[in-house]
Amino acid sequence: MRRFVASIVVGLAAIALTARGDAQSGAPSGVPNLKDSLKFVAIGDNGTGDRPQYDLAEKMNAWRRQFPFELVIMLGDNIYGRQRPQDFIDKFENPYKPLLDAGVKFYAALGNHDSQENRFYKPWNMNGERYYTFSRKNVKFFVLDSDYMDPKQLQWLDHELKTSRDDWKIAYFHHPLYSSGGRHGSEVDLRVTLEPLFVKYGVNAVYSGHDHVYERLKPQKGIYYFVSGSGGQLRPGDLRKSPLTEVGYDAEQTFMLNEIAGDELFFQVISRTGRTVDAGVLPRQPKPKPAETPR
Amino acid sequence: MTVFRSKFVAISAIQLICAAVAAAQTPVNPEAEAMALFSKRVAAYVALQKKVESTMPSQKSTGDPERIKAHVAELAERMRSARADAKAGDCFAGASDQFRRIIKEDARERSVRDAFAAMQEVPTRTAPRVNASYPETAALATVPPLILQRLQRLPDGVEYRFMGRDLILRDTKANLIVDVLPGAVPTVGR
Repeated sequence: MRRFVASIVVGLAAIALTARGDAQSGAPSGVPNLKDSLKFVAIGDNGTGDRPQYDLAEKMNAWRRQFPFELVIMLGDNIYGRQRPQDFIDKFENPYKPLLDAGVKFYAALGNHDSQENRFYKPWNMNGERYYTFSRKNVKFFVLDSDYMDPKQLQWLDHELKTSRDDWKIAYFHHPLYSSGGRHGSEVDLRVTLEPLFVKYGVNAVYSGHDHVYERLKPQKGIYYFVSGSGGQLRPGDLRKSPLTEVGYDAEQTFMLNEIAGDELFFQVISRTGRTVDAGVLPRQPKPKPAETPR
Repeated sequence: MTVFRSKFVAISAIQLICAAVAAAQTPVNPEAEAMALFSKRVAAYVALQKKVESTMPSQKSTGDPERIKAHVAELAERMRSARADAKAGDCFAGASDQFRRIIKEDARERSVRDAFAAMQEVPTRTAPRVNASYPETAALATVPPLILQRLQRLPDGVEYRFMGRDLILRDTKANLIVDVLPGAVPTVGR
């Protein structure tokens, strides 16, 4: 009887593992798929129109059957090369058609390969703005245009962060403040400009692309940073693991599953061949104390 | 009463003359004046852009990229017609040296690696030309935020970009090159 029960348990576990996208053996547990949580995917540098982008999109769709994410955040370089109407079909609408048909919403940030007028492309939900915010449940997303971080955008961001009362503040944009990618690396100018605001107003997590690798950084000044720039493009071997690196992967294209439940951010990174290459859970940081008002 | 009135007129005339002399003697900061002139020219461009755009259906979010592209192309064509005689220097002239100096000072404060990184994706294959479209397949290379903080602020509708070593003013609605400042970027390492 015990053997019978044990075999059933092992069998169920195997089924569960398969259902979760051939999770890597020994990998830490990933997204828990809780009821009422916010589930979303992050992809960056995806718009190539090449086979790897389509493969990854298929994996995303397969995952959605078990992990019903409602939105995809796009970290820029959403379409490479020419930006003709046909390119929108080949490099966005066709690969993600099952997701679009299922009602998944895409929210794009602009990358350096995106035409600015693409902010009017309705399926990217930018409402004609280079930078914007949107909220879901207890999370507010701050979508920035890191191609052109002018004083006006900074003033807007300051105001938006200051007035946000959401539990979670997540910023995303194309260029990473921290990265160990060999091709680009950290964008120091941008870091000098943005990080003080992120720290001051308690941004919890930051997602970027630009370097065509996956990297989870060690928290910097208490903020979680991810580079997820291999949603279609890939620079194999480009990750120069550094003291900044917590986990990195540059052997295949990847996308990130994310789940926010209460005070926890779960993540799981899936490769083109379905391996889980990183996973974990991060607690919500305490909110920064408001600056003392001078008397 | 007549005496009083003529005295008043005389005093007013003297005051006006004094004010005019004082104004003539007030030192004018030529650099500030040049930048003010630059801003005035840019404002005139944006006013024209608004005027031209107001004659067209407004750009709206749509799922049809064809319509988005058509709007940009139409606006570009109309702006070209409205500025058929536009030439390099229409906005930058007079303030060129200041722009070059600001960019040079910024470059000096960067390491060679950082300066190189800032220019890494700047398009170099096409020489910028006033009234030409910014090349569609070229990356819209980032302008480092610290440079943007130093340069004269621009109104909505235009922005700074680098092409090769040139600084350009780009119409963000029509994707047009409005003006070109050649050789704005110093050679890295100097």
